Amino acid sequence: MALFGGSRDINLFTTINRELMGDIITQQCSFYKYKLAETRVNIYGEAADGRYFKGPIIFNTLISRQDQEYSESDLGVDFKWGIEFRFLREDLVDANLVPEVGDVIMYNKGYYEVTTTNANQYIVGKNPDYPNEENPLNPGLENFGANFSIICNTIYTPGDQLGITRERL
Amino acid sequence: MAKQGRTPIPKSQEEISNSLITPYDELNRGNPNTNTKLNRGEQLSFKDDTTKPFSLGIQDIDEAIFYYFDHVIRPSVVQNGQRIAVPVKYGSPERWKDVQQDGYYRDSKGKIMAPLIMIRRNTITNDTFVSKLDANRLHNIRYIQKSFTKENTYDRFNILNNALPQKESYAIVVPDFVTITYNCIAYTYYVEQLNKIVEAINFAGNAYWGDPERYKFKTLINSFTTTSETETGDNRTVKANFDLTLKGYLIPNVLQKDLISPKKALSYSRVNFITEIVSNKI
Repeated sequence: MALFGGSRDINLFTTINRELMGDIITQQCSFYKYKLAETRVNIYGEAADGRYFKGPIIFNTLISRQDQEYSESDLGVDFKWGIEFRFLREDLVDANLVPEVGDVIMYNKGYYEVTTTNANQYIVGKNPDYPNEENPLNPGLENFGANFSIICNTIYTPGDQLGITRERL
Repeated sequence: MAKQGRTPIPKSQEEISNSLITPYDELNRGNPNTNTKLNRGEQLSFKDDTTKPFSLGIQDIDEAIFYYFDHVIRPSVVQNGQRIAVPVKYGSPERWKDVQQDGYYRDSKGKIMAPLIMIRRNTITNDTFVSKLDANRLHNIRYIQKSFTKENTYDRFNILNNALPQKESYAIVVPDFVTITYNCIAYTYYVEQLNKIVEAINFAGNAYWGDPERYKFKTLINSFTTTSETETGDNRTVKANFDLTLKGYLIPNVLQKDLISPKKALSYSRVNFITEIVSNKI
């Protein structure tokens, strides 16, 4: 039987983090999820005719911004901005949303495409989703530990391509 | 006398340039570069016409390749005692589509599972041995006659009136002939599986690929480069690279072609000779 990281501990961490993120830090973003059944793609794997989204769903988040980059190429001066969004996993579970590569996050009236997702922040190193039941060594491991956060690395994407807002007038 | 008082219209630079051309014209067809004036009589409407102006694009050619893989070659491998159809995908799709919609070739963590064939178009080379000659003035146009049109039915009443059946033709410009090359990668877990895929594709090489109901294009395969590698800290990979060379043609659906090319033509159904008398009272 495990000693630490039981459900009471996890509830405490969740409550403190929700309060911290929602009432004190108060950084927010909106999440757009692709409607796969409605968005049609061509043989090249492109939704050139338009795309459909579920959302936006607003979340409290921790945001880590990289510096804006203005790279120069033959096409001219371009713009790049990578942002890392850290979500409390419980918030996403309540909203019934699983962030995946390719989803879109809106922040500061800009759109950011998710390039990687990381869900490896386990409290006391245990993920209760995999308790190895029937577990003869340590039964009841599903009540210990937590998969606590999902971290999404994103890159700036022109709203023109997504078709959410009218950018090109 | 009628020209009195009219301001002379100066010749345009194009008219001056064309008048200076002395064409090599053994067949007495005239200077092909002079007819630049728009003839509205040649502009026939496609309204209520069930025939679409013919066009054939790059995507149609790409679809022919995919059709041939999916419906004719149908590559498959035997894995763990089960026959698995090898999915064929175009290289570098959009991220969301690749991860979320194409989940059938990924495991629960998102790792790409073998077998898989990836196709990507590399080059499009113009073959100029036959062409439309000049994109500013189309010279090579072919007409295809429509066998029956609802609007121009020919019945016994028309015979009584000495009318001839009006023939409707659609103009199609001579296409741009192109050679398109594709780079393909076949990815499997085992060399034995890869052998089967290479055998299947090699058998289909040097044939006309495409949907028999649509377009078919001569496709050539020269060689396969097979690799099986085991690198430190990475999974073992078994791959075959090969290039497809396709002999295709393009008739684009673009504004320039629409403006300069006749699209539709009607034959004369009846020629009336009438007598006109001009009388002058003295």
